[in-house]
Formats: sequence, C-alpha cells, structure tokens
Amino acid sequence: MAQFALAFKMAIKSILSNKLRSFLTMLGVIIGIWAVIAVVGLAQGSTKSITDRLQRLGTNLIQINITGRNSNRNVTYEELQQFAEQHAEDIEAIAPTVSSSVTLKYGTNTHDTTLIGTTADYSTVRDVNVSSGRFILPIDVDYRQKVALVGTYIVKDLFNGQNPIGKKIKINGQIFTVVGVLEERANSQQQSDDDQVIVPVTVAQRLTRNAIIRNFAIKITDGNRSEAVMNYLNDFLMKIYNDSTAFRVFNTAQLLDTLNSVTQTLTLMLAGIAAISLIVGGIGIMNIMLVSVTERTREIGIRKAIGAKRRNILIQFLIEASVVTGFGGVVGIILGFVTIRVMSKLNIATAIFSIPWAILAFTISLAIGIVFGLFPASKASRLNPIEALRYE
Amino acid sequence: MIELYDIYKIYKMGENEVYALNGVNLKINPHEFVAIVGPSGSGKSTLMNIIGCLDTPTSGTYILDGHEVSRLNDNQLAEIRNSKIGFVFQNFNLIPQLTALENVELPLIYKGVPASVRHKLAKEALARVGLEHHRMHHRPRELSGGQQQKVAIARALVTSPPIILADEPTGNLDSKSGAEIMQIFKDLHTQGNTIVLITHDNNIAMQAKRIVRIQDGQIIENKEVS
Repeated sequence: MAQFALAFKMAIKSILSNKLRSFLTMLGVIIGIWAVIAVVGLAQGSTKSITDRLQRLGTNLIQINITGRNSNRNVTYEELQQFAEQHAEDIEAIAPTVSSSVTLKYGTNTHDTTLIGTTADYSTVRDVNVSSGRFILPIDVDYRQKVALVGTYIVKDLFNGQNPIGKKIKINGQIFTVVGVLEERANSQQQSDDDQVIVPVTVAQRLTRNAIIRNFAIKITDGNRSEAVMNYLNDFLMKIYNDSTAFRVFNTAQLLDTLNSVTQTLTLMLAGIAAISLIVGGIGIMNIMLVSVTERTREIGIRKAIGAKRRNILIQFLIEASVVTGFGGVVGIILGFVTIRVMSKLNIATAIFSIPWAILAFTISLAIGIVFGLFPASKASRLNPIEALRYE
Repeated sequence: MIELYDIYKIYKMGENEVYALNGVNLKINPHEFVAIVGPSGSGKSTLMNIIGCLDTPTSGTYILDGHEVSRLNDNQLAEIRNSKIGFVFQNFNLIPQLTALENVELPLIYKGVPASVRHKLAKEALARVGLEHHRMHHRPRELSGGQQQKVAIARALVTSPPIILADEPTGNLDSKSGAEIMQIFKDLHTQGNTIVLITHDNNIAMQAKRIVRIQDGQIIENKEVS
C-alpha cells in the first residue's frame, strides 16, 4: 500500500516535470470524456423534458388514434360522446382533436405554429386553463365561431407581449378573434405547449379540410381502471371497424415506455461515438508512454540496479499512465459539467449532468490509462539493467 | 565475502564466441579495499556486472556472503542488489526528478522500509558522506559533481550492504573533488566497509589495499599494496 502511495507521488512528480507534454497527452481523454458527459447530458435532458410533458398529461389520459384510411364507416365524435355518457362512472370527459401546422398573421408579423381544434371538454381532459379571457364554449363549436386561444409564446412573438384579447389575427388567411390566453406551462419556449393556438374543432375541420376526426383524448376518473377502459374502448371500436389495425387505443404509460427505449438506444449510440475519441486518446497515451520509456531508460536502469523488481517498474508506469488519464477524466467531467450548465442557462438546450455517468466516465478514463499503459509499462519492466544503465 | 570460482562469460557475436571473462577466480574478504584495474575491453566491466549481480556468468560459481547467486532469476537478483550491493557509478546516476534525500531513500523504498525509518537512515547516510544538511532537498542538477557523487555514495550505503561497488567513481570529477571522494572511500573502509573499486587509473588504484589487474578476461596480477 505504501508502495502505491509512493508510486503515485512519483507519478505526479514526473507529470509535473513535463507539463506541456502531460497536458497534450491528456487532451485526448479530456475531449473524449467531455464529449461523453455533454452528449449524455443532452440526451438525458431532452428525454426528461419530453417525459415531463407526457407525465403532465397524467396516467388518467387515454388516447384514440384512428389510422384506417379506407374504411367506409368511421366513428364520430357524437358516437364516442354517447359511449362516454354510458360509462360515466369511468369516463370523465372526452375531447376530439384535429391538429395541423398553420401560419398566424397579425399586422405584418407572421408566426408558424401548431393549431389544435377541439371542444370545451379539452380544458378538463388535458388540464389546460386560460390565464385571461375564456376557453372555447360549446356554442363556439356548434356555430363554428372563428375564435382562437393563444399560448404565451405566441403572445410574446406575434403580439410583442401586448394583450391579444379582442385582436383579429389571420390563421392560414382566415380572420379569427382572440378570446383567451392559455396558462404558461413550459417557460414560454418555442415549440412547447406554450406555442400553440386552439380553435373550435368544427372550425379546424373546415380550415384543414378534414371531415374525419382522427384523434380523441379521454380522461378517466381512476388511473387504476386504465386497462379496463382501454379494453372496452377497443371492443367498441372493433365493432365499428372490424379491423384492429384501423385504430389505436393507448395511454401515456405505454408512450413513455416506447420513448424511453428509443432514447436509451440513442444515448448509447451517441456515447459510443464519443467513446471512439477515448480510444484515440488512449492510443495517444500509449504512444507518449513508449517515448517516455525510451527517454527514461537510464532511470529504469538505475532503479533496477538499486533493487527495483520488474513488478515495481510495471506498477510505477501503470500508475503514471492512469494518473494522467484519471486527471484528464476529471478535467473532462468538469468541462462537460460547465458545458451543460451554460447550455441550460442560455436556453440552447435542456441538458442534465448525470452523476452515475460522471463516475462511469472517470472509471473508464482510469481503465484507459491501465489498458494503454500496460504495453509500455511491461516494456519498461523488461529492460535489461546493464543496457539501460549504458543508455545515453 | 565474494568468492568467484572459474567464471566464464561468453558472448555470441554471430559465428564467433567472445570470451569476456575467461576463467576468473577471485576472493574478496570482508573489510577489504580492492581495486580491479584494467584497460577498456579487458573484461573488468563484465566482471563488475557479475559481482554486482546485474548479470549472471555463462559458467562458474559465484558465492556472495555465503549464498550462491550465479543461477538466480531476475527478481532474486534484484533483491540481492537491493540488500547486498551498493553501487557507485562514474556518472552518478541519480534520478533527476528526485531530491538528494529522496534519491538516497529509493533503495529503502524498494526494500519496503517504513517512511519514518527511511528518513532517519537516509539522513544518517548523507551525514556520513559529509553532504551539507541544507543541500538535502536539492535536485541533482542543483548540486556540483562532487556533491552528486556524495549523494550516490550515501545511496549505496543506506541499506548497509556488505559490499560497495564503485565503477570509476572519480572519472567525471575534477582532481579536488576526486580526492575528496577517494577520502570518503578510505574513511568508509576504516569504518569496516568492504569496497570494490573498478578503474583504469593506476593512481586511483594505488590508494586501495589490494590491486587485481585484469586483461583479456583473465586476472594477470593480484597483489597487496604496501
């Protein structure tokens, strides 16, 4: 143990005696670890922001997605509404949704955003509220009123922060009156829940020339009944379509599972790419270590003459290599941490510093030192002391 | 005590066999001060490597301190060098990154001596060779040649080995420092250390108590100095 402490001290000395070279040697590991930490942080950050949005929907949400194109008979909102009323003990509310990309125009300002056409029940189902003005009323849907609710990002971007209520805007060329502003949900970021416009579903159908409503969101009273409700919804839709591929019934839990497996694969792939730079860094270390062994041939000879065994020399060089890479790893982790912080602060992307990954990265950097230091160290330990002492 | 019986060291140079040592018999008793003298190429370096356990003979028997060491493996030889031999080289061979004190401690580190004992022994050894106390924490390049050689002698002494093996110890020094170093060896001899000095310089050799002359791998003269 004492020997390790001494070899460690010796390693620090020889690293400090050639600072520039030690730094250049470390650079490969620094960049590699930096990349791993930043990439993993980004991947985990974006996963978390999507996951959070999904989780905000709650476990009480079931979605129906009509995928069939050629069926002669489609389920209507009225039928589902009726079905929901029959199962009022389970189903709290049901809201149809029609969504599309649209261009908003106010004065000379334009803004591209997501349009959602729905009914008054959407407020209950998706837990969406207004911070000022009013939500869509049943009368708006029945009489196809061209009224719109906008998110806070749109207020900021299209109206330059002015109160938009009562203002006329053009959606894909048609004039709408803004009647409400939605509550802020995602820090008023672009392409978030705060960047959308909500209109009555009947108006949206005309605007998008879609006679068929393909999406329905259902809020159930008890999250534990999710499976049972999905089952009888499936049975109900089967009776209409006679084809299980024509529609999909799913809840957020299933969506989260799919998302997690996708992002996990993605994270591993990105980390794998970053790991290539670690291997390159490792080869750099092997190269420098070999040079160092040659340069220090005489030192090795001296050590052997005064009683160092092969093992002592081997351990000394292995520790030197892993001190270099371990230190590089720490620097890389710090740089990764700073990068993540800066990106989050400047709102470039949501990134999370992951402590397990930092520990893993540090372990990997130590392992690189040992693996790539092994060959040069064993070469050093095998030197013949007589020839090593004669080396100039 | 060093006992060499019928030592041969043969190098193969392509087709030819070169006899670096050609049947050497030599006995060096404890507390002796012996100079091994010979021109370059005489085989004295090979003899020194074998006596110093850096190399093993092709044939023959080497008994050091009562143990046969001619057939030991690498690790065993390293242990012998650590505990039984103290080397002093012509070019000092100190490790440049370490301070004088750390250089002297190094053999004790490989021996596994605990830190407190190590510091004490190393300081004592430096005091014996007369290195000024304040130079202890200097690096070799901050010391003069004579001072470096003193550090090297302290390093050879620190494990209290039965034999100190000095290879041209004054070869890189001016005559004043050389005389100082030779005086240290004489003092060490008076204190009871066994010293084997390898040199090509007759004037240096004359300061030992016995001269062993070697040529073409054979001992040609072995005489006491009056």
